[in-house]
Amino acid sequence: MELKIVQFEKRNIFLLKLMFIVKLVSSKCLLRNRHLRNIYRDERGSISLVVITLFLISISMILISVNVASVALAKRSLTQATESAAQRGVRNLDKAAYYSGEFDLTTQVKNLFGIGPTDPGIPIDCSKAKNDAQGAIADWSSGSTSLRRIEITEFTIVSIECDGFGIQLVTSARSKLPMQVAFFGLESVEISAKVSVTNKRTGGFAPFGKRIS
Amino acid sequence: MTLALRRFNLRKSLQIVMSERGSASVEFVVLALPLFVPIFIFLHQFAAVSGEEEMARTLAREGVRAYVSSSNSNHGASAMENVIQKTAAEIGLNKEQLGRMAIGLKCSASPCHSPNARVEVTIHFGASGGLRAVTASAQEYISPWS
Repeated sequence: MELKIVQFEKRNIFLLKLMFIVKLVSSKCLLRNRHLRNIYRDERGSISLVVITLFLISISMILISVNVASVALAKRSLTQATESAAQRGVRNLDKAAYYSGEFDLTTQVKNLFGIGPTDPGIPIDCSKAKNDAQGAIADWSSGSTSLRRIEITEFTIVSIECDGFGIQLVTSARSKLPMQVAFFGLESVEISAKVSVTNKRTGGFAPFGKRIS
Repeated sequence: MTLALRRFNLRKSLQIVMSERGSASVEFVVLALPLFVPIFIFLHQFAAVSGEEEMARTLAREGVRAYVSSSNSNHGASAMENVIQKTAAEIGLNKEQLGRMAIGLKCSASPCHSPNARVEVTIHFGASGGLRAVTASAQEYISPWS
């Protein structure tokens, strides 16, 4: 009987100890939770968070807009150069084709009444046109640096096509980004320009090359 | 008496320092100004320089086109000047910018107005008021039939 009582007391003591430990741990957790809650509820430093977030957003937006603007300007510069080269190329008149066919008094009279033959277009000498366009592009890419945007590198002529009346020039280059983001590996963007140019006969009356109207 | 007054003043200043009133404004000024002011300065510089460079490029293109479209060198030079002045007025260049502007003409042949000659017109804006100098050029070729 005595042994049983002692065992019961021992068990009680153990339970009491266990309860004490549980209570201690739970009170500490409560304290910690309260501390975290206090930090969360405390409004000190909230403006810093807003300002830093806004700053990061602004920096990202500026980075994107500066890069996009720079690429757009580089593309414009490339297009203008390609256009200039194509215009130079298309000036090469193919004289033999231009002066072929008959033009007599009847045709002139028909032309005056507006019932003459339709204008076939102005034929150009394709080999000369291609050479001149390439020469103009070479002058542009090897000329003074003020001729092109500083971002433009690795300039290449992709294709030059000529159908006998017009010329189409396709060029490409890489535009270096002024603001590069680390770890993204984006240093430059490929840009291209496609320009087609053809000649148009000036209207009016110009007998023997002398313009009257 | 003076010691008590000093103690009172010290306590008051300590109270002001320890008080959290206006801390948001201080935080904003201390953080926002050093972070945002350089950004605004950079953006202003970038926009101003890019804008001036684009204006210079437009003027150079218009000028060189006027030159190569003209019938002879004398007429070409005056046509180029006129076109550049009119374009400058159209795109909104002010007197200060016009004062800083210089026009350059370079030809690959002599006389300049020879068939197939390469003509390069350069527009230069000198540096001023923290803005760096800007130079832009454009090239064209005189018609082989001129």
